[in-house]
Amino acid sequence: MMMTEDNKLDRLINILRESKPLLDNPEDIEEKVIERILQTDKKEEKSSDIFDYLFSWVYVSWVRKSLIAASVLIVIIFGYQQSMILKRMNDLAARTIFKESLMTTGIMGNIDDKLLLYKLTDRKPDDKQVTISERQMKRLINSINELQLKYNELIKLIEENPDLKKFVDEKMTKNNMKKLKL
Amino acid sequence: MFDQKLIEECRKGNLQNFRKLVGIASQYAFSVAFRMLGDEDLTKDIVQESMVTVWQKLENIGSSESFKSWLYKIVINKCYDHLRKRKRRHEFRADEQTWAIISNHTSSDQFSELELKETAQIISFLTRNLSPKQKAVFVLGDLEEMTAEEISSITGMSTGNIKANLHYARKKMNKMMGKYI
Repeated sequence: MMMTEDNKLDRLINILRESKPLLDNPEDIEEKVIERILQTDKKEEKSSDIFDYLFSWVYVSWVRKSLIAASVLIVIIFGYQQSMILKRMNDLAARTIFKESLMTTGIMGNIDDKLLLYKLTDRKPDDKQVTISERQMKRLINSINELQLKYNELIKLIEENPDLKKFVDEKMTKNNMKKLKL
Repeated sequence: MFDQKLIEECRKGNLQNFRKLVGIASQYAFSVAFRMLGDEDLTKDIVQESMVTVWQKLENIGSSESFKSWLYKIVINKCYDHLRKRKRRHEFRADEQTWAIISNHTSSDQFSELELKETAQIISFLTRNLSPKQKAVFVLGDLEEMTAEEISSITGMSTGNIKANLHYARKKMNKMMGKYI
């Protein structure tokens, strides 16, 4: 009797099902798997050693992992901040050197730049000539006037209050004595 | 089938016990992977890789009862990866040898077990036109005799989808039988 395709397929599937593929040498696989695991463990050991040393006091796995992740993050942020600070310092130093070179070559005579350089380096400019604009001069005079007014007000305030006057006098005397000692 | 105590010991990191587990589990992994790939050496590599993955992720397994389906999941995913890489498809020519093996086994009433090479040839012939998903459903359902629910937990497909894939797989295989034999 001729078999239909359905029957043929069913029979073939049945034969395939019964003929289960078997591993001829499972010991060989066992050996290779263990070998590969040990090799991978060795690689991981080196990097995990330092974390184990630092976080060996934490017994809960997820807490330990979170701490490791947090510490790595903090180190990265710290490194980033340090690099940013260094970059800014380098920029500032470069700007100071640039301005100083401009001044020494006589290209820059602006009073603001000279004052900035004086603030940064604590060094007075060598040149005797200072270029100042009319606007800057007005600003300077205004500022001196304001300072004068505030000084007068302060003196008045001290004169009116005997306790304060006494306290200020004492402080001034102390300061003068210190200066004399030096 | 899989000793729960053995799995628990392995989860604690006992490598000696894991060697025992590899001895048992690799037979199951080999059967599925060989039926999926049809190449003995390649299957051995896949089994090795799967067992290393099992060791690395053993502590993530929800319960030791679900170990079998979890193992199959790893093996099937590795087979998928390989089948996707091996995309090239040649027009199949049922050579005389394969034809002889099939007709020899289907015509006689007596059951005779297939050799590995014969199994590979027949599966390769039958599943030539199947997608990796259809092939996985056929291997797990028809050859490994798993239920739709078990296949669903391994492949992540719905039971309806599994039944549909199995239906189309059988239809395609029937067509192959009619075309070449």
